[in-house]
Amino acid sequence: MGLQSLDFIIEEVITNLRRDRLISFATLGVVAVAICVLGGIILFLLNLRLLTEQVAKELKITVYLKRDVSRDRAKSLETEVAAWPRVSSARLITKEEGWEEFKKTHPVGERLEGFPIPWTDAVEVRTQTSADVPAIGEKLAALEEAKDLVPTPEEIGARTGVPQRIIRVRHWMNYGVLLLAGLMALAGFLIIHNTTRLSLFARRREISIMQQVGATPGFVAAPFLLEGAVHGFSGALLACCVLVPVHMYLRALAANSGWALLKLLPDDQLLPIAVALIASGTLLGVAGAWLSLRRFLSRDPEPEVR
Amino acid sequence: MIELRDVSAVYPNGTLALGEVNCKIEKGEFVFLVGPTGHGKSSLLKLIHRELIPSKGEVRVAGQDTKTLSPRQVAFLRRRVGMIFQDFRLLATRTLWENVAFALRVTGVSRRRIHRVVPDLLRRVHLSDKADAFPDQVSAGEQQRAAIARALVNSPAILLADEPTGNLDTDTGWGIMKLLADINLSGTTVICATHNRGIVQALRRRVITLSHGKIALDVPVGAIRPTASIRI
Ligand SMILES: Nc1ncnc2c1ncn2[C@@H]1O[C@H](COP(=O)(O)OP(=O)(O)OP(=O)(O)O)[C@@H](O)[C@H]1O
Ligand SMILES: [Mg+2]
Repeated sequence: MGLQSLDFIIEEVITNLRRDRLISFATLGVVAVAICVLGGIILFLLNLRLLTEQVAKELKITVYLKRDVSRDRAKSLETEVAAWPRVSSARLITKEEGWEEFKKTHPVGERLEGFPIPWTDAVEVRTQTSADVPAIGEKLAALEEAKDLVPTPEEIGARTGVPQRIIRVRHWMNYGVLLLAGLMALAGFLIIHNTTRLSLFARRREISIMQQVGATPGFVAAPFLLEGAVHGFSGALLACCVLVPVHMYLRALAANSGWALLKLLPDDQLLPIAVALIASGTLLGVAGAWLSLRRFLSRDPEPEVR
Repeated sequence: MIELRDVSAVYPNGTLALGEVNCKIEKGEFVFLVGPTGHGKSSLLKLIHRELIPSKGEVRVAGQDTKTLSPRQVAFLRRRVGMIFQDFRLLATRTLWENVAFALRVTGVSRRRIHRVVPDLLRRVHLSDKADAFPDQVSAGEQQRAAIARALVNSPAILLADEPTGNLDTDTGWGIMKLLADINLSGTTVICATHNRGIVQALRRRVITLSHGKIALDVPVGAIRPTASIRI
């Protein structure tokens, strides 16, 4: 296709967008709403992950070792556990360090001065994500050297003051919310599919004449595909024009709320998300238009239109 | 150039338009297609233009079986096979000039070439002064001439004309026929469906007569004498 083809195609798209202004706006609006909800869901999930990751950083599992475990073995255990998958760090806390730490918060320790230290070596483990805590906890508890005192995630949560619910909620949210996001994408796809169908119907005579004077199927299809792309693109752009400022505003609110854990995605991370949303909107538009076209153009020979 | 072998054509609603038609048209021929109304003239032209696919038999245009063509190949076939439709098929929202240019634009021809070709064609069909009128602002005869100009726009190797003089007065009709004859002289194969006995008899070309969807008569060039009253 040469430059002059492009010239024709663009002119067709502009004429058609102008002629069916109402349908165009309706399509664009539905796409915008769908992408807005989709983008909102994605932002919500990303922020939730950010939050739980921050929470996860606060989470640690402390395994106390049996009294007869040697210091050497404890040290090798530290490196061993640190090398486990999904473990981000493991640190040996000797019984001396542990006792000092305990005494700081519990003055009762002072009275036990002179006695053998009533404490054991321990390994403090942090996982890569909060979701890894239960599995790693179990694995630690199964260690031969471990006292059976490995705390459950709930205990850890309670001790660190982290609402465990957030962590558990995230699991089902990932599925339920992704389903909703998928439905929104489908809505955008279907509206463009239908708009193209209407547009093809309204212009069936013109298309039929195009075909009769020798326009290739690609040439017939191109303006409609471009139109779908324009609808998808501008709908998504509109959605981003709403989502991004709203998110920036909420982030500022959260930052001033005084709750340190409540941090939203930084503004500069919104750009790639917006770009991805606009790209998917455009793609959705092209795909929706293509589905209609495929059905329309596959009729052979094409029916006469008078 | 064009060959029909045992061709039957059935419309989607079940109407049998043609039954077991056999004929061969060579490159450069000028053929009249005559016969009573509803006996299959337009259908035969549609087969060659591939608006109809034979339900039986085989239609070959320039060596290709039209049934096996891909949609893209159909498009290229139609650029070489110009069709003047019985019902014109002009776009009401475009001027005559734009209607003619449309056939070039949708095949990706440059604007510069369009501006060279279209005025020339409009002049040939005597429509220069109506170029900017819309189809519903001109007479049926003028619409027909615009349809002719559009069919010629790609300099087709085959020209199919379905009643090209149907709406014209005798003189203009003759003008159009001369135009078709000229086009034929330049090497284009012309097939012309018509009810105009006078023209058929005067031009002394091959005449295929259709009756109830079958070829009843196929009279070669020069076999019909011009009657005394009609001369070119
Ligand atoms: N689109 C269609 N759908 C169904 N039947 C059709 C269609 N077009 C034509 N026919 C039928 O096919 C038969 C042949 O029609 P065709 O148009 O080929 O006749 P024709 O010889 O061109 O007539 P005319 O001289 O009136 O133009 C007729 O019986 C007609 O009713
Ligand atoms: Mg007819």
